[in-house]
Amino acid sequence: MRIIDIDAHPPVDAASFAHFFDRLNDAGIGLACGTLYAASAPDGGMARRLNEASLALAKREPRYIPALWGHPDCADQVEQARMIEIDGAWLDGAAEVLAAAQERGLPVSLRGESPAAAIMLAERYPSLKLICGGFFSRGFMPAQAAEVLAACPNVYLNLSGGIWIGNYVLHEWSRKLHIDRLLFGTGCPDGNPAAKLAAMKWELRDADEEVHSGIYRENARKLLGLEA
Amino acid sequence: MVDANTSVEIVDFHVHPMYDFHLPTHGVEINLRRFRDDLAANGITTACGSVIYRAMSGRPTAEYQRLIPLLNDQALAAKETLGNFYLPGIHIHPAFVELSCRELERCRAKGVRLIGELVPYMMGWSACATPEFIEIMEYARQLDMVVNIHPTSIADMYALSAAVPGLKLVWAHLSCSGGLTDHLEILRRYENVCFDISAHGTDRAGTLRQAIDRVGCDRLLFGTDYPGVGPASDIAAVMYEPLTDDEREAIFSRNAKRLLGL
Repeated sequence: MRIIDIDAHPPVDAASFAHFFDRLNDAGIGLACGTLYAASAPDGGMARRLNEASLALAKREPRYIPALWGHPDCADQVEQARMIEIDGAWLDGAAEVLAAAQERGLPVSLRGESPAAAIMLAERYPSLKLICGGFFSRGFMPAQAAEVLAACPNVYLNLSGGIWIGNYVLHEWSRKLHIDRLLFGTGCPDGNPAAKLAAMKWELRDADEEVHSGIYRENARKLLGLEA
Repeated sequence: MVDANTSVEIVDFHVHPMYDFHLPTHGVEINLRRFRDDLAANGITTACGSVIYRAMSGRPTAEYQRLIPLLNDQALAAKETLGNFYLPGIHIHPAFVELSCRELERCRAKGVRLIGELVPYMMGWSACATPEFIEIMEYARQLDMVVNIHPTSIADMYALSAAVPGLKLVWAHLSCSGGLTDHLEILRRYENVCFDISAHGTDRAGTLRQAIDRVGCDRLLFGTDYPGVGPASDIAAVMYEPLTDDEREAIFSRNAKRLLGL
């Protein structure tokens, strides 16, 4: 199975691109979707430059699915993405980006969001597909994640958040969550892809094949509109 | 997951057999059988560490005079059940120097070599570089025991590392709380100090390579912090790092065996 990492961020340094994807491949991950790496949310100018580099990378790296920083100053770039990433601090000015993503059916991955903010956004944009709970989210414990998924059918859960590799957490909660809206992610390079994948496999050791294929690939594939 | 049938020997230097902090929240009861089976299923051949659980944490300091021997007895009892799979780590407490030294003697006579992981914040203390704790550590050194301690403040870690030359001191959780630079500097300065990599040492790929390039592979110990943390991720992370077979062997087992005299 070609595993899709919904939360992997190639380096800015173009000379390191191949190494980045080779190392993900070494960990067992075949496709990576994410913005180019920034240690903290970029400003508008930096976001635009990262987005341009991201699109250039996607043209020559088949293992990369481009995601663009959805900074309010970058609304004109949205249509070229497969996924948009929006920092929580940008939400007040992100109406144009969010409307464009909703119109074009592009999933939006949130960063630094709380469960309450995710619900509010999901209700305001009911046909926008939102990805929540990832590496930089705030307050997404299992019960809160279950609550958000139950309340909002347009919300997906990014399993790169640290809580989901806690011992016996996903093992137990995978039975209580909407399996078809769970997405495997690593947060690489801030998260260790091999460790994340091994932890996930351990947690899902008693789950059936359909759960595995959904979390590791099929849910993301459908969400991103990739061919089977 | 490492194939449990392979010949790779893995000593998990950092476990807690009766840990129950987050597991009941998710409907899981930990017991010694689950403890052994989960670790063994991941290829771990020996597991070392202290007994911690919710009811022993955050008690008034005076209660630890009673609790320290009790916790140590529970570790010894777990050893009876688990046999050679488990090497008990015992507790001491700087508020009770005489009791702590007696416990070192008592447990050392039963073959115990390991103190800890000590988790100061759970037992109402925070600093290791105090005359009381150093007195206990000096006695541990005389008994040739190994001590594993949860990181305290960076300044305190430097101070204790320097305070008892020759003490076999293992700080837990390499790189936790953004401390990698100081952790490596502590390793560089003090040859008696080791770090275990449990829970945070592999948070970011490349950390082990960086550590080995700086201080060598002989003072890094594999650990999981199971059952607080799953047993699979750290093993996979060590396998994933660009290390030589010799470096992996050192981290997985050789260093712990040397320290503990296995």
